[in-house]
Amino acid sequence: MNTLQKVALVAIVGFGLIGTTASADADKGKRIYQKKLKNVCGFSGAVFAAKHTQDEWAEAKENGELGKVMEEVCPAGKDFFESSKFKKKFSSHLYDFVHDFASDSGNIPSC
Amino acid sequence: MKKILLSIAVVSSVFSNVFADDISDMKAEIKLLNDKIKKLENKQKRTSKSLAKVRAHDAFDNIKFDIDFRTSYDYISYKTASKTVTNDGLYSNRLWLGMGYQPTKEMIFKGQLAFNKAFGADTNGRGQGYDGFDWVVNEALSDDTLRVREAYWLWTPTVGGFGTTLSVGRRPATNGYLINLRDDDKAKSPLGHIINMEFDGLSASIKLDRYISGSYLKLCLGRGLTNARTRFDAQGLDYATDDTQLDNTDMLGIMAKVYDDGQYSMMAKYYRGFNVPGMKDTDADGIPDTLKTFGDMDGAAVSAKIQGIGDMINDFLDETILFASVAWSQTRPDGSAMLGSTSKKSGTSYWIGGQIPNMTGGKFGLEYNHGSKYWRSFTYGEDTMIGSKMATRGNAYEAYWTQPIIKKDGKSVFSMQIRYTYLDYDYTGSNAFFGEAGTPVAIGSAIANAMDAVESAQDLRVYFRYRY
Repeated sequence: MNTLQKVALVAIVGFGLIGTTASADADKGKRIYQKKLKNVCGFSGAVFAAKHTQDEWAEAKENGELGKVMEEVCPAGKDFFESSKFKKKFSSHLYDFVHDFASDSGNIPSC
Repeated sequence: MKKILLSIAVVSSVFSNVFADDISDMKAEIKLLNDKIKKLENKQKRTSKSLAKVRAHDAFDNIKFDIDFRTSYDYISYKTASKTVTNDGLYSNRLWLGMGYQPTKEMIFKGQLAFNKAFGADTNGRGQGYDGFDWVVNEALSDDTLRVREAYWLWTPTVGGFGTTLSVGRRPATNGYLINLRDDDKAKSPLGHIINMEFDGLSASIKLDRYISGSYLKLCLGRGLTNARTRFDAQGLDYATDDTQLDNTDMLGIMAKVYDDGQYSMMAKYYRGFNVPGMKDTDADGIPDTLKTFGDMDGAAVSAKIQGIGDMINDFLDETILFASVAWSQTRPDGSAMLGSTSKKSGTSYWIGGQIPNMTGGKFGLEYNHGSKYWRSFTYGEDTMIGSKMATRGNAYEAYWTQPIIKKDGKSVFSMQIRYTYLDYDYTGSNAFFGEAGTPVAIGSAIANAMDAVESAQDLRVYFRYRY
């Protein structure tokens, strides 16, 4: 490992150690859907979010069944929805995204 | 003993008869209650469904407004060969009053009213020169008139299984891809490296994401300048074309979202501006004084962004953004000296930058771009007080810190930004149009020829912004 690589590694680890206070974020949820689910589910994030109303998504979250309800919408995403990363990290961002673009949200997509 | 057993049997019989009646009553009551609960549950389900229908109907049955109000302080400074000119107290307010209406899933209306004004009354004729030109009318500081910045309809039918869009109206080609990062806006489709101004026109797109993740192709047509006469024309030829005035200026652009998987994205654009305007020196006093059209202008750019390093390793790396962009421009003179030359002249530019999250939920960003001698972009509407940094023929450096102060539902309601921009020019004419005023003269030669050209410019901005 040369000096440059060492410096880069230290920088990445150092940056990684800086705790960011990332809060739930609908944009991040959209990106997660795009990267992890769009090809798996076979439809866009807008279609996915519009499968339920805001109340239905909220109820699923309150009952701790967000993964289960999302899996019903996209059965091919079973592994993802049952992963620990989904429960620990992705679910809050995805929830914000689906809630923002639920069938009754009235949010008007930008073109 | 027999008596005792007999007594117990008699008592048990009496009690069992009594309890049997009670249990039977209770069972009947429980059944009634269960029936009632079932009825109530069904009723609640029907109410929820009705409520969802009402909400869904209501959601698409009204115009939704949003507000973006920003108050800025700018310290600006220009350095020429002979002097330094500053303004250490430039305050301004910018209001964007947005609206949207979607009566059906496939038809959308979007609008935005805007004003952008410096604090205080004005005696410098603000908005009456080219700062009031239609391309930048809502981007340059003006008066407190509320103008239409955006008004268009957007139709999104599915044709042959492909998602398509068709849109016509006033559609500012501002806040585009990558330039949106420092502006803390959502990216619109134009590439901020080469296009950043207001336009009236049309766009049509087709989604190709069934073949390549996130991809689409978009055609844009814009009219930058109209040759139509005015109402109450002196010759009675209202709105007819006027051969004595400038030709129509039009623009055709083809852009592609080449790839976008939410983490890696790439966009490309090619455009041609027809009959682009510029200043001409008509009285040979060495000062360009009249606006005329000079020919066509070609341009292209390829921009790429990485949003998140690695595969969701941690929040810091997830929120880190890196980008790079390259661009090219070329004049196509119609016989007049375009950018000071009657032959075709090409320019190039490159732009790199990054953004990292900080510990308080904000973002730090650093950007650098460089433009060559004949580099020319259509970025007159860029949100930089000292002139477009993307248009710089030389080097441009920028650092910023954007910090949400109040958030609601994960969205920034009130935020601030501190931004420093430094432009170091190698050639003159960076922010001019396409005629003689855009002629590039090396700063050293300009100084040698007693031209007191701007060598460098800097802008330190602090703003507070309310959005909801």
